[in-house]
Amino acid sequence: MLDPNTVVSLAEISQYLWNDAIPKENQFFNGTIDPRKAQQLYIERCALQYGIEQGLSGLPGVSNYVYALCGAKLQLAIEILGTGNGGGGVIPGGGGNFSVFEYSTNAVEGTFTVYFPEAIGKRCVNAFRQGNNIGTILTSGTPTGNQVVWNKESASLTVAVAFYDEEFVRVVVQQ
Amino acid sequence: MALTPNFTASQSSGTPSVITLTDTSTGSDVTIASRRVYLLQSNGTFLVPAGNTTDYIEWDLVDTSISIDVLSQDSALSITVQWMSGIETVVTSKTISFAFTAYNQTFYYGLTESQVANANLTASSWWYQNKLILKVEIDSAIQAITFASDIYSAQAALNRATYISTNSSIFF
Repeated sequence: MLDPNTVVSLAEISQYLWNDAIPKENQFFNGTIDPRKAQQLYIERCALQYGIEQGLSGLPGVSNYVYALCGAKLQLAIEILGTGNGGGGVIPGGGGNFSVFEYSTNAVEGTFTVYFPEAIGKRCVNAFRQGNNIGTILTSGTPTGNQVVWNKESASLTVAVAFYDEEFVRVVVQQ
Repeated sequence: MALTPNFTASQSSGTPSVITLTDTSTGSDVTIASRRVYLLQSNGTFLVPAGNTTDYIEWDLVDTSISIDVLSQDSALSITVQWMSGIETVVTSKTISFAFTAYNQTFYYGLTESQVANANLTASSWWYQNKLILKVEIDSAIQAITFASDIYSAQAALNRATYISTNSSIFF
């Protein structure tokens, strides 16, 4: 089972993809198979987020249910979540719950953690460091290899391999 | 350093009747000898636990947080914490409004759980419509507090949400 937090991100991405696709289908194909898809994703994703926040029972089932609701947009959503782009660039936005924000900083030599105070409470959907590839973005534990750990409470990004002097680090976060 | 008063409030899905306040004040003031909490409702009355004989609830200074079992439904409250001197005068106070939504949020989550067990539930034309109305009412309450500390509008929205969740057989 996917991490429910990842499913939340996929649902958010799928929501805007569906929201964008439905008017196009209405215009070019005289209708759509499911005009309520974006609303459904919003409704169910909110429930999933509350379940995660409160650690409620039935979370795996609800998470899988929301995952399945992403439907035909799921693969594109996975691509966007994994790489930060796909089918078009992700433009840092300025409002709404689904906006993507980008923050960067320069690390101190020999340290393992950098902080992005403006990103407190947000989910990290992508990260970049100048001196190394970044692999899986964890939300807890200790990173190894090219893994990193994003702590949204402190908006910190921790790496396994120490930063070099003034190494450029960038994160892309969502609400 | 003078006391800068502050506190947070939280509520858990498992115990929705209980609100927990945590003192996050910084600094100190040697004149402070006691602390009390007022839970103002949108109807102008103070909410207190059963058996409490005053409008306020005593919050012992040695306790960083206090759990108050006081809610019977989702509520919007204007919470005032007062830090008192030994002669019972207010040294400083802080008032923050909160929307406590755990009852309806938990019900809302339960609807999705029901869908997981029986996906056909959403086939009825009113299922999503009413579920969305419920979500809008909950969000409206939160927004009324977030943007305007408006416990009256928030409570009205929560009352509408509560009507839906407590009459679920009509709506779902």
